[in-house]
Amino acid sequence: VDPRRHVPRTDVVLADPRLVAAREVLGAGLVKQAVAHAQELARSGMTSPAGVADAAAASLPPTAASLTPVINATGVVVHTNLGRAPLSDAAQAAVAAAAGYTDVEFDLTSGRRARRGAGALGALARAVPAAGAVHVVNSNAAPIGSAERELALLDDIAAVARDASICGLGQTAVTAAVSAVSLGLVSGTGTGGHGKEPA
Amino acid sequence: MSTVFLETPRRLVDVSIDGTIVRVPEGATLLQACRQQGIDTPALCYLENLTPVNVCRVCVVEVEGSRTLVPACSRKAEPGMTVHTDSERVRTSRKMVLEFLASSADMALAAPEVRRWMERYGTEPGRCGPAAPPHAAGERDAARPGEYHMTGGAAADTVAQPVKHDNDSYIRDYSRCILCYKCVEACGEDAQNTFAIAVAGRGFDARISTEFDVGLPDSACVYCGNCIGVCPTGALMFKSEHDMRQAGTWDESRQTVTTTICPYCGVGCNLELHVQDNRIVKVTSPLDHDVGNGHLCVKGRFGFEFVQRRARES
Repeated sequence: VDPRRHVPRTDVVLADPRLVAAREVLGAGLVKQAVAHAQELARSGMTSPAGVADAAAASLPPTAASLTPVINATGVVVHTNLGRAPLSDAAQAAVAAAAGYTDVEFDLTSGRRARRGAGALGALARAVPAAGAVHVVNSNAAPIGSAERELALLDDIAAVARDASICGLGQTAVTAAVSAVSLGLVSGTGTGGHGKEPA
Repeated sequence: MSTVFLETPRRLVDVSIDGTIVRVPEGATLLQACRQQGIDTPALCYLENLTPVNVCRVCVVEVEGSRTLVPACSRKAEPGMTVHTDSERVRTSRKMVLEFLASSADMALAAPEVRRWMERYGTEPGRCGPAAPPHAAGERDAARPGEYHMTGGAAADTVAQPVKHDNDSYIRDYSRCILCYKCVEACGEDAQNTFAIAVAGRGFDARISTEFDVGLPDSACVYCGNCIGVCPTGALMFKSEHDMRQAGTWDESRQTVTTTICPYCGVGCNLELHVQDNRIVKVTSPLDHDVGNGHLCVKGRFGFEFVQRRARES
């Protein structure tokens, strides 16, 4: 009998307890990909058909992250290629706390929806007590300059799409984006006062 | 007795444009009415000798009572219309149309009036972010409908790509293409009836393509060059002009234009020979001439090479 006949079926390999557990952590796609690769190796004679499940399990990464923990023996403590400085215990605890449900856009006092970034605004106000007001702008979008510039561009795009599109599909295409911005559903862009707030 | 056919007299229509009452023949478009008034109205996809396709949206004007702006190039003047050509809405739309086009395509070789319009409406093409790296040859041509890949927001996608050289007559530089459809119209039922090119793809992946993206020599192209004649941005260009631009010798200030009649057949198309340093460098045809309406055939458009080539063609 051709030894390739002994390569186990995909669903049989996937039923292996190690792979069932891995699927919970890594997702079905990645696990299935590893199984297919192990089957391919067995078909080409590089490994034995009996070892497909072992090979698949061994080739899986330990976590869903693409990063592999390493030991920094370079002598450079803050090494950019190795992720710079490790997070302190306090920072790790803060990350762990933020991993669950938080009041990121919610005011616990009033029980209503609130603007994102209240913590940053508070910290800024405490740092510059003399300032009359503080403002935080999400300028992650450095290519265009600032959130203000992006919003101005979005306004213009909405105007031209509404006014100059050929058909009704184009004329209404931006409506959802404009509504999301005016309702403050996009982070840091709420203008408040337009439309109704989500309950 | 000979019979002379006269056109049926056309009714005149009064429309108000920017507060002035303009009288135009029935059936005239708002663009014709605007131009009759001397109102400089931008238009990219419109040309006198083609059917309006309404795609560039830069000629839009505001008509009172209309929910959206209307394209002046195809909207007929109707009695009692009140038109505004310089309202805030019109200026915003024209600015954005020019801004989008200039941010995604290279408009450097567009007609001088295009640059004038961009200046007038305060176009800022850099506003959409830095340009993404150019596409590799054939990359955009391979795109399938519905499979557009976003650039990720850090850079603005463009149509930049290498120039297509696949024949001796003209080049196709789709980095400059603004998809005005004029070449498709001229190749198709507005002039040549050859239908060698069409718009392929959807959304940002839309591009002008031959059937199955074959090279021009394998396509239905008959090299009439009418597509070059109507291209507003220099995306389609005589190879002679392209080569001279590459070599840095193209200089319109040193060129003369001589109008003559094509010697090849009895139709009598008008030719405009563009001559630099005593050599014909390209051939155009006047749009307002009754015989060809700006369109030519391969002999009129490219036959000039026979005048100046030393070696005998076999």
